[in-house]
Amino acid sequence: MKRYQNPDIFEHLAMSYALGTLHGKARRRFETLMEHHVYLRAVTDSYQQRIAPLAELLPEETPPARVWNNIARQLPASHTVIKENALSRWLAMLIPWGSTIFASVLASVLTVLMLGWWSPAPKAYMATLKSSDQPDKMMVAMVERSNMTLSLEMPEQTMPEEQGMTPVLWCIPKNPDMPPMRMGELTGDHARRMPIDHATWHDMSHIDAIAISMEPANTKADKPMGKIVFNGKLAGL
Amino acid sequence: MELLNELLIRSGQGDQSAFRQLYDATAPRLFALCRRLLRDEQLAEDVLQEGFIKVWNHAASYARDRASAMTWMSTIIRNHALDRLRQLPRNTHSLDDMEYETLEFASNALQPDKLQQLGEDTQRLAKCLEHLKPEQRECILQAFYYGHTHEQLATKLTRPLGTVKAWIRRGLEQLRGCLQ
Repeated sequence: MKRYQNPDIFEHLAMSYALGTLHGKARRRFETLMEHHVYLRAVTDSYQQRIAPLAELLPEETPPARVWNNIARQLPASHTVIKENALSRWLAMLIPWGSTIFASVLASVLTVLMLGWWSPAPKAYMATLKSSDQPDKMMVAMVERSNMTLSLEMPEQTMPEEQGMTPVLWCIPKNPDMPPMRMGELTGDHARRMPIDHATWHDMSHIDAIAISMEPANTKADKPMGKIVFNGKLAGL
Repeated sequence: MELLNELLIRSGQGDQSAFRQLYDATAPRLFALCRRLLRDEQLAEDVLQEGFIKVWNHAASYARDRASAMTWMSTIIRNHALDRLRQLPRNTHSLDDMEYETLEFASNALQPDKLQQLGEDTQRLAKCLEHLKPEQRECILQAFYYGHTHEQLATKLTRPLGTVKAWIRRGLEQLRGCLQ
């Protein structure tokens, strides 16, 4: 894996993947690596996003109507309607005065509620942290429910080093009136991975961004006082 | 462009009518891309259809602050097309059989009124492409629109493989610098 921690190598591979010139076994190998190393995925996504607007320059060619018809057949809403109708009939049978209108309204309410309950909650959150003064440096922060950890993935020599200063990780809430959450110092065992508790996991839905600041060693500031060296928006996955 | 972002977000919330509007607005360009990459009408239709189902299934994960809807969708559909292209038996499309069009649509002399109709990302990219050497630009555009490998480009341009690789690498590095 060390080879892929070298920015000269992985940036070139990411660019080739994004453009499509990486192919065959090399493309599949790189896809496998991206599944395991989120920073490779983030760098590649970044290149893909830069190149993708080329599609907008193409002259338009309207696809045949059958393409949409086939797509529409695979969309789930018709199932919802069928479910709702079945639910209406079932409720109508249960309601002694047989009001199908009432059953239909109740079915709609139940459907909405069920769809609400079934809407998937994030299983993880991710932020691509960009350096405030070195545009080519980035890292990826992942907060995962499966192992209840907050982890950072980055190439070697990404984290700045400064005599007497320690990098500290912060979660910045969406509500500006709420104080930042100090997650801990990025040193020793916690340099790349730190455990979180259930309360912290639930708090992630209220977090807007993740930031790393450089703070004087052995101090316990409750908000970032030093320079913010990395930051990025947190998104649910 | 903001309208497309909004339609994609609503699609992610299960709004089929928004998804239909999104399809109508974006499918013609994405179909044009699939046709160029796959050089087979039926295959392009299949890939467009499967790509839009992927878009529907993943729309809930779209975040407008990370990319425009068109960029996000182009990436999904182009990757799907490239996967299909690479699965095709070798030499399905020999270079001799291919008809090449000019890349005039991505000309470095885009008219100002056309430029203005483009999204912000695309305008910036078009400007950056203007600064590339013609051979770098040609290779990058041929690889993007036609899915050519380094080897195919070297054959087509009758240049050594190493030269083509270097053109693409330097061109992309220059683009990266320009877009940052």
